[in-house]
Amino acid sequence: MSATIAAIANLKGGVGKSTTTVMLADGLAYFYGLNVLVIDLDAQANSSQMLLTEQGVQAASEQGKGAHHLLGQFLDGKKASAGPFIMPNAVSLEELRAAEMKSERLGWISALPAHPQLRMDELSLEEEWYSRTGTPTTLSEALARHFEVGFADLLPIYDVILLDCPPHLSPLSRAGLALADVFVMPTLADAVSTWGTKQFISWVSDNVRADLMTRSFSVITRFKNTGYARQMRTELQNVYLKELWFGPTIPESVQVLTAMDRPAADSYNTFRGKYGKIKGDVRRLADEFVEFLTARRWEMAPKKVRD
Amino acid sequence: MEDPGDMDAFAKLDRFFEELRLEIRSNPDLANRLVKAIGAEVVFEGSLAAKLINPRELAATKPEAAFRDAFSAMTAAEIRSVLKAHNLASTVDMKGLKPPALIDMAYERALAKANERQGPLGQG
Repeated sequence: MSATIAAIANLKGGVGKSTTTVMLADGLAYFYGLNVLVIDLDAQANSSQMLLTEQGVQAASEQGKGAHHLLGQFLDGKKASAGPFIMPNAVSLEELRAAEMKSERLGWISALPAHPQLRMDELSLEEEWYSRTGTPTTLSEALARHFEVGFADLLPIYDVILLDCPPHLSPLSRAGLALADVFVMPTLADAVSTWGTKQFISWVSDNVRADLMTRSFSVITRFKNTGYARQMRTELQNVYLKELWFGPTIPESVQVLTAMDRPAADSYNTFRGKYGKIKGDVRRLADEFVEFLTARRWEMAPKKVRD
Repeated sequence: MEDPGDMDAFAKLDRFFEELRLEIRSNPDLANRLVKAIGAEVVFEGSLAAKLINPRELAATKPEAAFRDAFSAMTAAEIRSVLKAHNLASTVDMKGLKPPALIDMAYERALAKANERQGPLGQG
């Protein structure tokens, strides 16, 4: 099976893209035993920090790992190859680590982490590209071709590649969107986020994927159970974005924040210990995303390996 | 019973401070915050320290010896509860560790987290 590439994206910041990315990675690896690669294209490196810790991200960069090195190949005019820049172990769940130790790999997570250097390199690239009469569109197209070559060797290895995209339409972000098979759009149940999500859908439909609506899986995140939020959620699902496939609603909670704050790079936790009261939400997210991919992309659903 | 409206200013202040004193006695977290607000140094020990201590703040602002002193009077269960409450270790991480190893873990991870949060990525 060739990997399915899912871009986790929205124009608006703060809608839970990185949190959704990590929850999906954990859920797909833990419940379905899938081999997941998280590619962080956001120079804020939030999902990278959630997976590896900040020290881990820095250590990865010092070991020559990270998405900025892939961009470096482009800057140097070299053929792209993402494999050498991947951290093969971004697992924080004890059950996955224990299975690996017994050579019973039942789910695994690797990461091509971001680093703030990524934004600096992207800026240098933009300066140079635009000084040679290039345009943002030609740059994002050239980057997409570079990534396509760089990711080619990864497709037979992984089941799902999650691209955590930055909350704007930079050349890097546009290149990531161009490569995606499906789109995961986290959004908040409020008017501003609804507007941002609709803008994003409109832009991507016009410029990247005309059939975006049939390829999109939306998740309402950071949900506060108030009358206003319930009303907005109903409107989102039944009126404004009714063509989209909606996954579960993820509540706003301290438990979510805690689950995303890995204590140390050598810290492991059980699934129950990491996700506590929201473990059911993460399981539903994985279940419904698998159902979505089975309906859209896969010939058959993967079997559950854990309950 | 005296009508509070009939009390003079001093009696009202006495009443106010008495209520505050009683609350401080029964609420160590408030006591800790008030002591910090006036810039005083007070050492809480044992189970009280376990409830009040913020390991990241302690690691970032005090020498290592002071950090270790604060934990030295705690039981293993109390150290575990501090580590768990401040998301510095999971139950899996702490399995089988005795107090000296737990304190080592507490110091290393609290200091690392405090450093991470004090500066931009890569400069912690």
